[in-house]
Amino acid sequence: MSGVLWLAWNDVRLTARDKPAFLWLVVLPIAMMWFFGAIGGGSEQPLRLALDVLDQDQAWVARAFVGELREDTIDLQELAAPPPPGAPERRRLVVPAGFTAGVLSGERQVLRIEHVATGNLESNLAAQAHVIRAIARTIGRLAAAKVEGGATAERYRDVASRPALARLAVTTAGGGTPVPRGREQSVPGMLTMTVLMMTLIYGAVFLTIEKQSGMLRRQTLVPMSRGRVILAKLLGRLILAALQIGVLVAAGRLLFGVSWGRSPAGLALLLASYAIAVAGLATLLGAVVRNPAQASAVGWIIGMVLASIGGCWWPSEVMPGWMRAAAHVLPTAWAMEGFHGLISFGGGLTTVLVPAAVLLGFGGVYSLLAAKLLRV
Amino acid sequence: MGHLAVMVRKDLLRHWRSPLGPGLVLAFPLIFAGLIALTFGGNGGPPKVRLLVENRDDGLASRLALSALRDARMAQYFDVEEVAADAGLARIERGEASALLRIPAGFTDAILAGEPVTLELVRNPAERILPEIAEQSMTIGVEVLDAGVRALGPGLVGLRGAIAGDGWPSTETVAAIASAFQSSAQAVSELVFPPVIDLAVVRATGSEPEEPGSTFSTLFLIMLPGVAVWALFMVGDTGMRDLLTEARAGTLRRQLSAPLAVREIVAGKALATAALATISLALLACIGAFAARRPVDVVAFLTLSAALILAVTGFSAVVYGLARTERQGATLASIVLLVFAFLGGAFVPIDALPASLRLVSRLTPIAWGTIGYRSLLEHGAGLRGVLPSVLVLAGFGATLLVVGAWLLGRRAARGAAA
Repeated sequence: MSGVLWLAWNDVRLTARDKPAFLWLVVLPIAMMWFFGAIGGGSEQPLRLALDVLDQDQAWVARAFVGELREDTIDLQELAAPPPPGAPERRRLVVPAGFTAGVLSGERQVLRIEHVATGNLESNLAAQAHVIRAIARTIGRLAAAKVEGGATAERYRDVASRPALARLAVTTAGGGTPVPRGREQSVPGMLTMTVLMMTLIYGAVFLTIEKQSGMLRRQTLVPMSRGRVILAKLLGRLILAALQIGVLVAAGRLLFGVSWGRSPAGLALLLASYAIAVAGLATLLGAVVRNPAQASAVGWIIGMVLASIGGCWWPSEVMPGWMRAAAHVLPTAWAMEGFHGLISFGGGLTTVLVPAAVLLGFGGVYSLLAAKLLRV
Repeated sequence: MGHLAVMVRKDLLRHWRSPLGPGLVLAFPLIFAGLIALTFGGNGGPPKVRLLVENRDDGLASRLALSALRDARMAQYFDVEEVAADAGLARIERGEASALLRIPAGFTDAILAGEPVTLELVRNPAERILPEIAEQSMTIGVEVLDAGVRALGPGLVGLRGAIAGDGWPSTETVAAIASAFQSSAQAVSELVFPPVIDLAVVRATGSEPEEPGSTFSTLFLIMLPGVAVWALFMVGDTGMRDLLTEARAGTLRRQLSAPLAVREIVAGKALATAALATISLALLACIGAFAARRPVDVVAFLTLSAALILAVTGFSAVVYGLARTERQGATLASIVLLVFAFLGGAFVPIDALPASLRLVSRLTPIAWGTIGYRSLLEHGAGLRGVLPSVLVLAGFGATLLVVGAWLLGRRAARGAAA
């Protein structure tokens, strides 16, 4: 057994001696956690939507409506005139001239919201929802004022000053610890992706180098059986994945404030199962590709595709139903499901039993295939 | 000139015989753009919000609220399922829904009495966008409910009395309730039937309205330029790396023993890289043209492409002029190009980047290439529209090519011993 361990550790040592390894295994994943977290709104501050308002009416209903738009989450700026051509594009809401007179006479008024063409879809939808809410509130208060004797500015203010009769209390299911917006997706997502990608690339590249140079054949002369050499290769990749996981879990906690849930045992089981699946896949890739260049290119593409379909880049909820279902033939989807159970719902060991069992199954299948296909 | 042609032909033939490397690099933009388009723009439309409702009231008002949620227009966005009290949370925790709406016991009574009432929405913490849509929609619904209760107040109070009483209400009571409702409805009809304020959504730039069912190709074409520009730089890297591969294999030494000047060898390698990038670009452009199904300005496209190829060649010349080994060069190129790709909008549109990164985005050639091709594809820009991208890429490429050629020449002269 010591021979297997020695050979496995030698693979890890070779990876560690590669100068850019630290960059690929540690720096890049952390940078990607930050990058995708920032895109997903991962700042300490709550998301503030930018909205410029051009009130071309300025009469009381228009002013009341603009007042309804003002909220802490909106960075609202009123424009005195349309911006000149060439000015930076910002999301803009236009209240047309004659708005107040039109509304009060029951003539349909159309507000126009102009999104920046390349703007963030989520922000655009949130801004639209915010404007629709303000419209509903304005109409509701106007209606109440009208029923009470007529829609006037004073009566509108009176209605608006009363406490709401209907309210919506919003809570979140489960006992997960809230984490900064965006990071709850990017940190586990990028961990899942980069551990897969880097173990695949490094694991497969070194295996192909050993195949090409005849090192692999020489290792069987140590003396060591073919099975033990393959076991050592699997173990080497498992240790590499485990080391990277350890560093990234710590970075997620310390740098990004992500709580990994309340169950260290559940987290350990999930991560260990994922590392086994990834190690098996890396060994399988190394067994089937012919040279380091192929290993690197295929590893990169497999990593990207499995990560995107598995829900590491974006929340799987946005994917079509068929794609969500199909994703469950991939280890990444099960890993993400386990992470959500632990982080978002604050689940325990039982939460990850199914994902971990499936990941171990993947690991077993990949390892068997690798053992069959690897030519020593 | 003949020597150059032979060298370029030899390099291209070698790549032709072993196409997997560049082929995989070129496949990546198509896979990436295709996956994004499939995820966000599949013909099935946006995913519906799966909303569970626990109706703990089961009175008139809650049943009306439920039927409003199941209205045909709401059904486009919501899959509403009524579940038994206390059953919803477990379903959410199994990931079977995006949100749970709890209508409290006594809801109808409170509405009819004009008393405050609180509905509860429980979000699925493992999801972000769909629960947000549910929350925003329910908030609007509650605003409407609040307005309705205020506007219909007198009628609702009468209705409550009629429902609470024993037996059938008298004709006078029914008439009074009907009259109260009618006068309220009449007063507000101009405001709410249909809503007097509407919202039109437009995009700020003058892009054409999207054709129905074209979301997949639109998204594919939005994502393709950035990731394709990045892939071309990666292909260029594969081409220029050959110089170091040949130095290692000893074939460079053999070439230098032929009557060839060092500058001819470097020029041959740069031309081979440019030719490889041109072929790759042509392949990607054919796929892009098939997806776009609309003409682009050919002169603008060719000028922009020539500038991009110059930039690709210049960049890879500098990288392999600086690197000591193939592995070092490949690592350096991968890192720099990955940083350029993330900053330059290859994977994420520039406007979606954090503000701090948007500032430095335009320092990368990938940003200029992406902006240029997106202008061509999305806005039908002509030569004038892509001129800034052309000038920046050409300037970047020419400068780097001069520096890179000098570095590579020095390496090739020495490099026979590498």
